[in-house]
Amino acid sequence: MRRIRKMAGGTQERLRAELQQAAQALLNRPWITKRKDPEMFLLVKSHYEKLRDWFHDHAGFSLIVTRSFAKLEKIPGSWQPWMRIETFHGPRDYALFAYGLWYLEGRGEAEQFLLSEMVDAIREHLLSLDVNLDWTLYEHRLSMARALKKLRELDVLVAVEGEESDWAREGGNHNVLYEASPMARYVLRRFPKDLTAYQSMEELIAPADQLLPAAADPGTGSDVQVRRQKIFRRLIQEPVVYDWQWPDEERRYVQTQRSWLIEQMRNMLNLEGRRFREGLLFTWTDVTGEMELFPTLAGESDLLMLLAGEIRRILHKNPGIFEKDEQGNLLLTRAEFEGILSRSKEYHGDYWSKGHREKTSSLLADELIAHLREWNLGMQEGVHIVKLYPAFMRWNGTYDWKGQAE
Amino acid sequence: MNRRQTRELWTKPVPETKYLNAENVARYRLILRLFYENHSKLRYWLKAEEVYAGVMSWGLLDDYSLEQCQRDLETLVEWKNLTSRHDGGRATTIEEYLRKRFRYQMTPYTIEIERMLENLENIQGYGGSLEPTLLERLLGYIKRVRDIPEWPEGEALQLWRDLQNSFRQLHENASDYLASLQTGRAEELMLTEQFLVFKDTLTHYLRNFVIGLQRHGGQMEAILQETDPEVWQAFLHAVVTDEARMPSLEESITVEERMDRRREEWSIFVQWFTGNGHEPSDVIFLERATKDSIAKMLKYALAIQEKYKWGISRKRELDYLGQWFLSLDDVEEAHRLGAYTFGLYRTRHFQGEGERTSDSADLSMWDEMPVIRELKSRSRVQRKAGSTEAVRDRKEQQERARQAFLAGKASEDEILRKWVAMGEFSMSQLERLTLPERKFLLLWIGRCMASRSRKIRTPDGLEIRLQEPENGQRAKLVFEDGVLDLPDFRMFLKEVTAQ
Repeated sequence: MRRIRKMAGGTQERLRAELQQAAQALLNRPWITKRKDPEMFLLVKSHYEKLRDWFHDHAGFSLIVTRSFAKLEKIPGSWQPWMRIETFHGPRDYALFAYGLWYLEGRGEAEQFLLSEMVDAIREHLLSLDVNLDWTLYEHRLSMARALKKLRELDVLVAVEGEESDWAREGGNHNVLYEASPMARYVLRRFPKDLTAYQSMEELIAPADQLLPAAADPGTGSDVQVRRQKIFRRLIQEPVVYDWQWPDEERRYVQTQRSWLIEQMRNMLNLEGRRFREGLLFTWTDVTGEMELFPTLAGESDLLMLLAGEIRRILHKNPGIFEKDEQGNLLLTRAEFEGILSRSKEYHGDYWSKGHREKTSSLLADELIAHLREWNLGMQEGVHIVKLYPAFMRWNGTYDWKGQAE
Repeated sequence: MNRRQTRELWTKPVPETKYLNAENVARYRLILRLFYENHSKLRYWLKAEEVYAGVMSWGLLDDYSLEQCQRDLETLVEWKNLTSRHDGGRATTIEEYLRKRFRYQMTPYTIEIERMLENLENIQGYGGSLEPTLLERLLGYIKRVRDIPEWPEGEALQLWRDLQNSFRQLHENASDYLASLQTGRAEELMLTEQFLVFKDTLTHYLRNFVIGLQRHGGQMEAILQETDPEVWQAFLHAVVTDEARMPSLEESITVEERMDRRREEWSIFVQWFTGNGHEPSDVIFLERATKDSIAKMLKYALAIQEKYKWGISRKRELDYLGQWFLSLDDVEEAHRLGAYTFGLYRTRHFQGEGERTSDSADLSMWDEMPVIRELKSRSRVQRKAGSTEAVRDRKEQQERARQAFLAGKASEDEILRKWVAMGEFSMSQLERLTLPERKFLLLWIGRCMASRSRKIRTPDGLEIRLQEPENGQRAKLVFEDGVLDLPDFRMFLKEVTAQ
């Protein structure tokens, strides 16, 4: 069956699959280098114009392709708490990450230096700005080490000998020999103006307000384009945006242009879209992908799906038991939520990880509510109410296995 | 020295000249002489090992070690005779890196000092300089040839030899020099920031040469073309005559053959300055090549400055960003600024596709069949005794879930349908209510009271309006589990199509 289809739509289908692969890789990796990933790099290059134009017109993202790497500069449509560098604990980590790049700026490829030289230069520079960093303080060293680790992960900094973690732990008598990589200058994205001209964060993500020849059909103004870019930025990057989460103008656009949006998302990004009463829902149908997927591999995802099944059964027995608001969210009291959780534990706790089994229901509820928020599946409102968003009910987790478990 | 420069400069000490009278003057002078020689050959950066080997090869120092040489180099850096740069060579350990693998380069000041010393010593310049003076010298010889009516014995040959030597020197130096500017090494050098230091000296040099070429080359061409050819013939004759007088071990060749040879050499010389019918002169070519070199250098210099400027601006931007981060006081804000500037996160999406039981765009996410996931055990317990027998067939299981689900949906719909059919009612008209009915009713009342228009829309596409009793009558609602006293609201229900 499949083979027949393949033979029929051969080239066309293959090209589209390539395009989708390249688009997803660009969206989810810092960049694609020729050295490390020659095949994907070639894929991006061979579809360069299409990718560039689509991302430019639809999302206002620019695609940079040089002889050695490709990078899509993506911009949040609406910032979500999960859009972060996970290992960073606070502003200082980010600042030191920026100053790490600052130190690397202008260094030749494979130019070598020592950790001590780098941190001293940063410290001295900050002292001149009246910022006191003290490398004898464990906390400051830890911050720097987290920043350095991230720079290494990105391959813009290479450690030849030594470990920054040793330096963080014990300080001065440990050193690391580093090498610079020219990729360092591409970590910070490009802005239409010099960065120093920006005063507020929101200015940084304002879509460039200009009509592009490719998108200039008569009768569309640049405000339409800006709106479209804002919408695509969110659909491309977020798990779901319910109708009530859009500003009025954007909601109207999403509701009236839904079939076009669904078609665009399918063709370019291989995301299957469907219109529901509460909003558009896009899903990734392959088992694995470049992006982060829900259900995640973490135990919390299991528990949420289990909970969704549980709530479905309760509603089935007793349809009006929980209140639904007009946005289609289910409202539970925190006590009800924890109660359902405790019952699940009685039935299925044996299959849970030790950590989840031993948590108090309150702490476990906190953890699950955090997971709900991370995936726009729900939230806690005030002290007493747990709101479950419509997409939460798209899953039902069960421990009923077919046949014997392995 | 510029006259207008501040006079303070007249009284300042010049550390750059310390090496000329320091305690280990011999070592310092030899080191810098080596640098100067290499500089003349366009080798600007030297490693300690190279310096040591070079200095030792002259055999003028006994008892000198690499470590001493290293220290001397450091001293010269201190006195601003040399600048150091970390060697581009790769170290593989911290220790190796710390062994101070530096390369050194002469500072422009020191180059001038060495050049002065060289002049003082009256040493012939090293290869690779474009000396306009050579052209001047040649021009002088040619003018003499033109202006001497009679050739005293020996004079012509002497002049011929001078002329040929100078010509060869000019020719070779110029091409060497231009060639050296085209080599990979020089190109590489031109891409470094250190090149900026030399750019001015070098372009100045080349420009002078071009000016010299134009001025003297032009004159040369004019003299060669406008003078009666007989004059040159007479000169060549005189040369050949002088040569014939010299004792020679060579096979004796005839005067004619000798004359032919000289004529050929002469014509090469003339062509170099005047060209021939189908080829421009070498002067023109040299001028063009020099100009090209200047242009290329300026281009490189510009590129370096651009890169440098751009680097500066990125550095400034990163500095600005770093300070921006430091001005934030909570982690969420930092994450947000990080996402706006670095974008180092992956996108997020839901995985899996549920069944489609309806094509209605108005179907609620609650009402569609869910995606069923079999969860894996995360403990050592793999399967409990007496746990639910697995349904053999997923399809069957889903069908059952669906039936149950639709049934539930039906009972809910029934309540609504009943009330919608009534259209409007007062609380006092209602009979005994079930729990789900109470749930709906109280929910709607609460929401209507919260809205100023006393009107709401439900997700099921109902419009519900509440009217308060005119004179505060109250009503009692009877439920399965008790009684509730409330104002005798009147409720209006209307089905509206969802947006």
